Amino acid sequence: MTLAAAPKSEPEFDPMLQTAMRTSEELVSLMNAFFVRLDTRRSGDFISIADEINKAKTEIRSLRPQDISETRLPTAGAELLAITRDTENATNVIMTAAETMLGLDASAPDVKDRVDDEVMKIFEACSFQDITGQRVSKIVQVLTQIEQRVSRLAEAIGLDDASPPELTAEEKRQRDLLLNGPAIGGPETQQADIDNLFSSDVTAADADKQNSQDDIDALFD
Amino acid sequence: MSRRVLILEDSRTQAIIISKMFQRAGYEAICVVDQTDALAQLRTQSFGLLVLDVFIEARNTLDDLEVYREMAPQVPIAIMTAGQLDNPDAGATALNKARRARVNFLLPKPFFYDDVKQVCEDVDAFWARSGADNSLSAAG
Repeated sequence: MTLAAAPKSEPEFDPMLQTAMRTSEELVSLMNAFFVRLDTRRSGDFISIADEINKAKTEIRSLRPQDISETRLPTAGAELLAITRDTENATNVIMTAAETMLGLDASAPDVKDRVDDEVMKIFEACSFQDITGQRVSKIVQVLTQIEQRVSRLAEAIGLDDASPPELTAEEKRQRDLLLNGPAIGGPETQQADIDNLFSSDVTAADADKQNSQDDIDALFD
Repeated sequence: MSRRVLILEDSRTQAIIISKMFQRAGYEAICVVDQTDALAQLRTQSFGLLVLDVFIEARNTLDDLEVYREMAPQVPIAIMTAGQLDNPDAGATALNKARRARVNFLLPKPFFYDDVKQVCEDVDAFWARSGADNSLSAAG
């Protein structure tokens, strides 16, 4: 006996399962559009970040940092050392000449000639000023170049200044004790203010009103 | 010839220093800061010596030597220069150019009173010879 093959029929699925499958398909189809959009936006973001990094790298390269650190700054440093050396030498010559003149016998017949000789040494010592002017110009040039390059970089990568860092204890001490050297254009505290503070017309009755350390400190804040 | 020197120097401090050296050597020193002033001085009075700085602002005095020679014929010329820090060869180049242009004296900066004194002695001798030659020519 030949058994006829049983007709194939679609497998019967649980209707609930079928519903769940259809819902899943719809969800996948909806999410697909979302993921495509998401990928495009992300890749755009990454491209833009890569562009910025490349731009920054190009800008940093154009700053020629090796040129600054290996050539320009050492040159400026050498010029500063030379200025210090020349100034020191000139000061020594001038002080020696002054000391020699102080030691001259005013009644000696050749005193005028000897004073003239010493004065000439002082003039000669001042000759360093010519080269010093050129040295300072060279240092200013280096600083200007660095300033321009840093500003260009900040502008290119859109950087704003961060808030200034907190002063360290040592920096505060230097500031408070005026150890940062002379201010450009004269002392910050006017001599007249200091004179007023130490004015001698304070009477005994004012003794308890005399300047406290706080008043003095306030002058220099 | 008068013992008067024209000093072309654009640094006021240097001009004072150099003029004091010439004064000590017995010369009257007239300082000017640019070529215009220098030529104006040459039009109004005679000088026994011209002391010219090479680099005056953007100009190179060595390019204008002929102008000075026309305005002050026969007057000895001393060329001084400190060179340029930005161009280390500029000083040597300038001094060589000055020598080739047959200026009478080279004064590389910084120079001292003894150098100025020597230049003044040579200038005095030059004018003394020149005076003697003129006398001989007149007598002949």
